[in-house]
Amino acid sequence: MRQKLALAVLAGAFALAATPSLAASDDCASLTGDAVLSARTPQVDLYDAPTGKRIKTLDDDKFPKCLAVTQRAPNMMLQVSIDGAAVWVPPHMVNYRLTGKKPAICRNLAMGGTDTKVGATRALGEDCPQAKAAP
Amino acid sequence: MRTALRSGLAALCLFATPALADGYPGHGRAIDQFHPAADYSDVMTGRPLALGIMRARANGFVPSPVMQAYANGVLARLLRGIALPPSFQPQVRVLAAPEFSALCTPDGTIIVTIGLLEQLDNEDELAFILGHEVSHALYRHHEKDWYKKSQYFAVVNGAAVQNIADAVSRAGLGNGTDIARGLDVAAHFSKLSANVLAPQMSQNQEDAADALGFDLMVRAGYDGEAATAVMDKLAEQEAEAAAAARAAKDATKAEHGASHGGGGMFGGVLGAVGSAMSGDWAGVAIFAFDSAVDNMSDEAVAHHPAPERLKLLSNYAFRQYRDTMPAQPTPLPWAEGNKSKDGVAMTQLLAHYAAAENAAAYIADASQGSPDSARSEVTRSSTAPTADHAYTQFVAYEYYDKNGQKPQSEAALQRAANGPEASWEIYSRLIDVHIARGDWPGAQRLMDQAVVRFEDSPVLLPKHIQILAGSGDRAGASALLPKCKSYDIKELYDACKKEAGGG
Repeated sequence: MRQKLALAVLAGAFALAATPSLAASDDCASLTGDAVLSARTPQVDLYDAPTGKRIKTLDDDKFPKCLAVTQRAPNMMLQVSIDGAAVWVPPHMVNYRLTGKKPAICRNLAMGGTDTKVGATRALGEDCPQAKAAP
Repeated sequence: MRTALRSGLAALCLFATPALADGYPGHGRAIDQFHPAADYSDVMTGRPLALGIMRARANGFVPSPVMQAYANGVLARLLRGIALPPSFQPQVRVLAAPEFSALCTPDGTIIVTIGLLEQLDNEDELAFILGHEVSHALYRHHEKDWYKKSQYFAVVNGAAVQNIADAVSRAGLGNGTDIARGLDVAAHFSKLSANVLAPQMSQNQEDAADALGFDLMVRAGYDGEAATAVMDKLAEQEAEAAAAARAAKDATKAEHGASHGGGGMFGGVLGAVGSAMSGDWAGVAIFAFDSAVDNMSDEAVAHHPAPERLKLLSNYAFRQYRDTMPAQPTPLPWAEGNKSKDGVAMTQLLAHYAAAENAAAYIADASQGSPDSARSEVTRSSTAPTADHAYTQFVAYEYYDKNGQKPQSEAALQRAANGPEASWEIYSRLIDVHIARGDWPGAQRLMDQAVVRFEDSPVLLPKHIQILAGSGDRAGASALLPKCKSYDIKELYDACKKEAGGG
């Protein structure tokens, strides 16, 4: 019994891995999915594209809370809708919540697998398409 | 009047510089206020010892010139145009460990783990990490006793793992038993966490390195938002460690009341050994695991939690770099679509390590895979270019050992020992194989090689004494005791005395 418990402890502790990425205390419980929660810096710059031009700046108290993230760019810029317009915000300027399973790291490895590794390390190739021929 | 006052206060708030911690410059950029030392020759003399200490950890360095050249290229880009004395010669080495971690030794050797490389999303993230780490060396953040502390952690950790293994062996628990496997997981985890953690910098030093590292990466044309991504990844690691520690503690309390609580890493180790002596195997496993994760979470707090660091860094970026962001990130050489020769080589290397990691996960916990997938992953990671790498062969050794395939498991160890970067773990297991069959001269030959490869690390001493005593050279074994004592590490001296038959 004790042996089984010890192993259960080990396995259970490793399994407690799926913690969502939280950049601030979350007051937007009613909003599901990825969200921009609030301003982090005294002002927030809004851009027209992930590497585009700054089109507007909002003071932190004017920046809306609990915005759904509609897109994420490779450089981490987050697209949200403010006053009906789609804009991009730099993540360092806002508190955000990124939920759900992390995207697979497939790259050009062609080495997908069906196994899921629990614990701190996200497996390279996890959830990727199975390889036709291993490199 | 009230409105005017309120407006005035609002304006003050609006334009007030966000407060930053002491490690950040009060104004301006860190790089503009940075003055390198005139000479770094003194710390460079410690490089062989630093490399020896790192080689003795985890599964040593990843022997991949192409990966090392790539990482060093990123570092060179960061430092291009910075006036530094010729005596400052930083370098990057890749450690064969699966977790997300990096550190810098006093001589400017930056260690990044293969697990870190696997989890990066772009080169910009690597640039921030290298910039942060090299800043520690540039600022000379390392304490004078860094080498001693590093050796201490290596010795104490090695002794803990050995003690648990010895206790299991004495109790006659073979590799096929569940509890032995659980202990192996616990010991492995404990070892990895200690590899990552010690010794650490102060919060101010971390902040100073964040600021200068950020300056270096943005100056080199990298996307500053990558630093945010790195901090998120660190925060996630810390959250997982804390959750694991809580789960282990809760389960321990549920089973044993409050008697097994806390104690930190070394208290936990003592507890584990005590439990082993009394035959309480659940206690051993829980102590070993609990102390590892407890230590990790405690260190994470002491180490300045990533969310706090992110807040400070965000305010620094807001204050100093508002007009230079955002930028397009630079893809990694192993990113999708890169067909360059080096890119393909690095892709293959990472794919083999990933396969070995997946096999290791199955070996530790059979629910994380299947026998077929593990066999295929071990076979794959045992071929070129990783056929003689310590990590892939250590996993192969464990896989074959678990399946009772002794010749194959020994052959895996031997392949790694013959490779360019064998780890002490490989040597230690191979020496045990020779000892088990009574081949003391063979064990001594391996030890002689290890002494050279690991810069005569104190970690080797207990095993060296064991070999000498076992082969009947009691005088030789006793002659090493003063050397053990000279390191002034109680755990090391105790382990040496035990092996010499006097402890």
